[in-house]
Amino acid sequence: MQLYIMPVIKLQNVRVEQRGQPILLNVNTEINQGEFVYLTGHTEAKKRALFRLIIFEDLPSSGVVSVGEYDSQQIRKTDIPQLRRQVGVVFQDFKLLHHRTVSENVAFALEVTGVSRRRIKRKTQAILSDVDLLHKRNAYPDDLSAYERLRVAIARALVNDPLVLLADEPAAHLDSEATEQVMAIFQKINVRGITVIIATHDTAIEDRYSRRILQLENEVIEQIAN
Amino acid sequence: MNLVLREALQGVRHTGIAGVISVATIGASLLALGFLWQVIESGNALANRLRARVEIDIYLKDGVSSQRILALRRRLEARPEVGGIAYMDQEAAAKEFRSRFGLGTVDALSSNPLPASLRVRISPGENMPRRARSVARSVASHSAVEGVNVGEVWVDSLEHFIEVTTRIGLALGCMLCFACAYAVSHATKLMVLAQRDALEIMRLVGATNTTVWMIFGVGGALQGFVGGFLAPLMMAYISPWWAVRVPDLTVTPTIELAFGLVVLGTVLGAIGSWASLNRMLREIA
Repeated sequence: MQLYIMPVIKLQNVRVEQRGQPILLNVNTEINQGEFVYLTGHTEAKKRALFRLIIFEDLPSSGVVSVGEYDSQQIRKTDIPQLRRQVGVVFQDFKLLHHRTVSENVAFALEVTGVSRRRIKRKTQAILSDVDLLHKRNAYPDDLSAYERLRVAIARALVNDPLVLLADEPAAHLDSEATEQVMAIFQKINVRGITVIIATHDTAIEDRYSRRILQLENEVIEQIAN
Repeated sequence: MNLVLREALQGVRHTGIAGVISVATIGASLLALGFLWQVIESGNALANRLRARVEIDIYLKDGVSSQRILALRRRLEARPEVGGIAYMDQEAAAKEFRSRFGLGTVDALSSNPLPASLRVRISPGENMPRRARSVARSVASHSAVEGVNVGEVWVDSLEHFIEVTTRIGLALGCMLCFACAYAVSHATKLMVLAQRDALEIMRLVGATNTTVWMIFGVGGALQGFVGGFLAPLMMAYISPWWAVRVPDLTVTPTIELAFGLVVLGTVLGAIGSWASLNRMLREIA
């Protein structure tokens, strides 16, 4: 049994429009701290719109989005970098820097947020060890398999100790064995109390792991399993 | 600061051949600007030297007594426009004539027809033609004066030439400044483009705007600095070749000009980079 303390993400009557067209209409949902949630839906744009709301890349046309201590009505521009340090994102295409090693890719997330050099070294090693990539720390992304690149992306998303981890179709480039392994990593992360939200269209994953599923359909969000 | 410098250097390095072209573009733009500046400076110095030579000739009547010449001289000396007066007797006038127009012309005549004169140098400063005319008018009706040659056409032409070249220089300078800023902005855009992925990651992992602006600003400033450094070097390289062809208008860069070009390049590099970054951030968003 998991103990949910408080909602870490809260969407209240959220409406999002793009070029005058509604993408999300009157979305209401809460995701609690330490939850593991699947976000499903057929339209990529809707899932992406929701992710962009959570990292405050976009603000809702109406309604309120709250993430941790920040909400879309009161957040100042200067607070957005602070908020983003609390939300780790794993992209479908990983977005790794190809001319930097595995270790440098992970350390980059700490460097640009002003963490001391000693702490960067310690944290980078620890997180690479967690995703079982310490032996590949000096390799370049182009020399890694898709599964390894995904783990680098996960390590970079986690290195700032976020409250929430967003993963966009993490199994898209993986075979079934690697998918199993990466889901185990996400579960391990979740056990630490980090809220994990995985956007996926892979119904097999949803079926295999009994978790809360939020479906984005017809511009609204509905819970289809818990 | 360590991160800012390292990332900025990496950004410059990753632009590769495009980065080299950017720096060369900045250098060439600043070279043109520095060259024009130096030509205008030298032109002004030349004009000032020529201005210092603005003179009027006051021809004296034959047989005027030395007392009357002295009285005329004192009257001229009292005027603030007058920078100096030289008396030229008939013999000296003939000698000058011979040196300018060759031997024989004056000697062929039975007597020397050239009058004695007072050569008045106008003190350097603003509006020399007007002051020269004013001096001429004040003595034209003097009983010892036969005539006055103000050399008006020459003086007016000089003033006009200086005015026109200064205006052209200013217009060209402004255009070159804009061209330079435009070139730098485009050149630094290549650096920002090369770092697009890193820029995206920086924003997503929570880098502050100050950090992002510093990294790209310093990168652009570095490119501008190198370009600005190259410009006076190229000027120094060109100047001996130029000096042979146009000796009066030297283009050897002064320390002040070299320093100014480096500073201008650095500032324009930073501004250009920020402008490109702004566009890129809008595109990414």
